[in-house]
Amino acid sequence: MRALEGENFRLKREQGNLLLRHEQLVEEQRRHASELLAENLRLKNSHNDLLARHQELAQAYQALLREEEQLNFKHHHLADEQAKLRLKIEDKESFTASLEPVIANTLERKIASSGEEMAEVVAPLMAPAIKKQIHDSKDEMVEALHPIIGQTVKRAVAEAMRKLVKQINQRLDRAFNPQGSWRRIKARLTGVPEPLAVLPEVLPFAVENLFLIARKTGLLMAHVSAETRTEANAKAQMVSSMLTAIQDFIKDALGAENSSDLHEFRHGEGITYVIASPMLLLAAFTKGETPRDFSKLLERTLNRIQNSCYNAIVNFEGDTTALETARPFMQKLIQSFAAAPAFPIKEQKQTPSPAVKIAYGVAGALALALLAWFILKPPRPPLQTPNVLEAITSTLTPGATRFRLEARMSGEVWMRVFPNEEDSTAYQDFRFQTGETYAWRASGLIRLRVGNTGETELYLDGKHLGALGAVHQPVTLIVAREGIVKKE
Amino acid sequence: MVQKKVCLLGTLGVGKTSLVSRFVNQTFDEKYHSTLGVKVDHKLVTLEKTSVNLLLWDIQGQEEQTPSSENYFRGAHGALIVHDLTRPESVQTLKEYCERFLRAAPNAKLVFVGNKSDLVEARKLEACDFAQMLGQKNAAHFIASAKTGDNVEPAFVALARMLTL
Repeated sequence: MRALEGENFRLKREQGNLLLRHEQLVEEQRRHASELLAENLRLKNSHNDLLARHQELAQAYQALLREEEQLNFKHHHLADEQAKLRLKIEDKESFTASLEPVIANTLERKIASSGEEMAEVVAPLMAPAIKKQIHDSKDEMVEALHPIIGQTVKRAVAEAMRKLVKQINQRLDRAFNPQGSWRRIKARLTGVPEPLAVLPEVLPFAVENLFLIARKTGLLMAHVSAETRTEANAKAQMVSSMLTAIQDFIKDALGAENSSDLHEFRHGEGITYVIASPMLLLAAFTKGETPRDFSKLLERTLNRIQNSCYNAIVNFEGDTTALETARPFMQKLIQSFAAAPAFPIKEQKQTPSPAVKIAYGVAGALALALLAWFILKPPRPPLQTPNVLEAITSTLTPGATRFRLEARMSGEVWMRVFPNEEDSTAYQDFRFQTGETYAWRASGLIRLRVGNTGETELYLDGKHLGALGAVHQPVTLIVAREGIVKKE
Repeated sequence: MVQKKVCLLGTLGVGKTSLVSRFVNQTFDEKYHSTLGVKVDHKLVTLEKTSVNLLLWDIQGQEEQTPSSENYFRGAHGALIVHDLTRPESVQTLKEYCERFLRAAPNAKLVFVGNKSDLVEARKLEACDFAQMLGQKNAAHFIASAKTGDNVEPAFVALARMLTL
């Protein structure tokens, strides 16, 4: 009974457990069912989203397909255009023709907006372009440039001539001072026209640099400069080497070992004279009108240096201090021209012997006689030529019409011509002989002081200007293109 | 100041002018300009006890030797005899240049320079003493490059030093 009761209890307990388990399972089933429902709902929603997305993508795909079609169309169109352009470019004539209207406008705009930039770009091309143009069509270039270059050169030459003539005239103006008288006598003695004799004064001669050079090596032995009188420097050393190299080059190029050396060469306004001895070269860089005996003077200086510094010269090994003793000779040469331009250096004075004194006396008397003869003798015909004056007067009023003034002389006539009416310091003197005719061209006013108007006739562009005055009557005339504008 | 006349010798295009340009002006030009006749330049070289002004006579290179160019050699105190490391044939002329130069300037000092080392592989620049090869025991030999400046100054300074001894 107890066993049955125990069994019943166990079964009841098991039934209770089973019921509990059943409830749990029912609960679990319910939960699962609700979860499944929720999942089902989520999946349904997701499905709907995917469907919507799919539709969107399908639409986008369609749009892309349409776009691709359009691009393909454009691509074909551009390929056609490219082919056409290539054909155009390859055909140079049509390509150039198509660019013509654009280039001019583009350049015009670019130059207006950034001219300097354009100039920088174009500048390197200018020189070769001009060279090529000159090479290809020389005549056209000459024709194009002539108005500019011609006028520029003409003006420069006229200006230089005007200055030179003015300087000469100023010097001649001082003819009555001792220096002027001496110059006149010298001019007469040598047969050189007086204005030419004035040239050395107008263009004073100066030795700017003297180089004493070892002939064999080209090394500088001594250098004296008129400006600084400094020690020989490295540049002077190079100059001396280069001078020697030039001498060697001439021999090398001409292939004549025994050919003579280069004695002088011009550079700008200067002349370099080179005197050579077997061991030395003496080079003088000069400016101005060279005195006649300058080469002899250089030779004399070279000989003196050679005699005084023989040992130093023979043993010279490149040390310039060894030839310091040569410098005084060179300095003396330079200083002599700095102090007394245009006249050769004077030799050292020595006490003359009685015989020499007598000779000097005779020479002095002869000189006085010559002086008297030259003063009394009528002067030579004038040096000035109408061409010179023409160059001067043409500068007065550039561009104005020029006129021709002709003077015909029936006797001896002195005439002073002022090419610039406003400048009384610039003039030229003429002394005409019987039967002489001179003509000038001028563009402005021209003033004449005529010493013998009775024997002078003036013609303006071929037209006679009438009687000017009586024989030996001096008159001042101002002549313009229209005729005589003033007479006094 | 002591001056010394130095000639640069060597066949066409070995780089004489470039060596002078590098030494004097510290410049190098890639373009080749043939020297006509002679060009003179100078540089003051300061040594330990003295200074010497080198008057550098850069003499036109010639394929065929002509006796007339010896005019330039007279009285020279020294010479840099240059050959091109990229052109072995330029070495062939060294002996002739050397003999001709010494005929005109018997007491002159010599320095041999193999130029354009920048164009030659390092292994090929093995020491080859041309001075010894040419029987000039008192001469020096340098491998240099005017382009890079390598060994240019030492070559000239070595010659300056030899000239002041």
